[in-house]
Amino acid sequence: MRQRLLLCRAMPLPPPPSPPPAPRTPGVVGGRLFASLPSPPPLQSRREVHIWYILPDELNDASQLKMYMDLLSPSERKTALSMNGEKLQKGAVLSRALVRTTLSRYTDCKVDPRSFEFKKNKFGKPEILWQSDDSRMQWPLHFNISHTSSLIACGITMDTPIGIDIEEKKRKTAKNILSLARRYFTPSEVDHLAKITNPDAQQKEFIKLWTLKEAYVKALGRGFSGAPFNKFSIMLAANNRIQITVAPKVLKDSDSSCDCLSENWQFALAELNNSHYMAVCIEDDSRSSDSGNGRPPLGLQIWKTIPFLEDTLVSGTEAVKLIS
Amino acid sequence: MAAARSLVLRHLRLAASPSAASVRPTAALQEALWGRRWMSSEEAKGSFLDKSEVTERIIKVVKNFQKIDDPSKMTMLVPLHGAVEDPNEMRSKLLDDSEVRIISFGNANVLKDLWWKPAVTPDAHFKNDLGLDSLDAVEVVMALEEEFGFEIPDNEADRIDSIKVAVDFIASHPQAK
Repeated sequence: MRQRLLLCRAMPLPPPPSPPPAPRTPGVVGGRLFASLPSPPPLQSRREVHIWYILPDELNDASQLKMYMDLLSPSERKTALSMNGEKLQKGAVLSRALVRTTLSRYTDCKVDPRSFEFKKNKFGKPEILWQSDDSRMQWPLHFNISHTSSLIACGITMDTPIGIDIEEKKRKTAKNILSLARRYFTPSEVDHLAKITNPDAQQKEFIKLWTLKEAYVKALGRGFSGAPFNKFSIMLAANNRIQITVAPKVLKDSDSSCDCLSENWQFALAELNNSHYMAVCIEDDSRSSDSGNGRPPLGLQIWKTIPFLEDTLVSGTEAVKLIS
Repeated sequence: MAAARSLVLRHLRLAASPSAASVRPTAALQEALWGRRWMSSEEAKGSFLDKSEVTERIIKVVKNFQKIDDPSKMTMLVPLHGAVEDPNEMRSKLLDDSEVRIISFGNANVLKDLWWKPAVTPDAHFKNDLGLDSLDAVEVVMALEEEFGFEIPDNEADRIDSIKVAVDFIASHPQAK
């Protein structure tokens, strides 16, 4: 990654970049778009989560971006173009293109990326709007996206609600970590953060907790106000287990709007590319509500992708470090 | 004494019979007495802030939030590669505009990187115009709470996604200072 310095320094001119290789032009419709790439492995259980991510800074080819733009619906295109400045516009296009292309691949390319329609649930969470019940039952896919300016990720599951959140590891907050935590997190989380004396380590722990909490809220699909951060605690236990506890008052309070908060969710936390934290949360359908060590971990597979052009399986490599 | 007594009585009469045809309090007096809605005595101490003042203060809060010195907060990078006649003049021109900072010049006066901070206007949308994400939004809400001196409940904070919504919310909140 380029280091961005605020100093003005005479630097030698970099050699002119060699022209990028011409993008392989994909076929026109459906499966031929992905002709040169192997299909992703199928999602074999509700416990499997596949993550596909893009690094926007690597995608600067105008014709490639136009190709992605063409996959979008008219309203998605309009929204993307209404964003302020090229970088935000590019991010919006890539994020929609990533969702559409990824979903298409999990229907074995039987559904063209352009064909997908989306709706929002009553709290604003995006979902696939299938044309027919048959399609929905054939491919009971759930997805969730998260983006930062430097990485956009899409998580896919079969038949189970999912939330993901990405954050830059080095992300600095304007406010002091503990003030933020006191305002938004639970007392036990504040205590946990307060015990960390090294400011850098404390900041990283805050970011990890933030992504985990965001992932839970997004998985639940009820918006920030439907699952206020100070009504549930997430704990990174010593044995790398991630545990969620809902504030006891809430579970019994039947006329609170938070009575939907539940603890049967499973988490994974990983470091991507040495630059980002990623938290994943899916609903846990295991029979035993006892969240002891017996519960198998999420089956997580992660690819870095350039839609239509290139996939790189990164899980199991240096690029992905599972924190839990 | 008599004058004061009749003054008091007149006020009492006004309070007692707001709809009496013969007595029409001025709008200002009416608002002072009854407000736009029935207020508790504590709330009656506050009053609604003027929208343009609120807008100005909110814009200032958000601008302060867009710290340009922190690389991770820089939301826009417009790479420019082209010769510039006088880098010093360009630099001072651009530096005058608080929205922009030059990162570096290469040799031959080639402008290498330009950071552009999006302008915070009254119609700016946090995500689409300013590139703020959910963590930023939460920090902005906290900064607004500090600026205006009252706590914004989570379900309201959730809706605040632009300067305009923030203004409408705060300007209609009697506890805002």
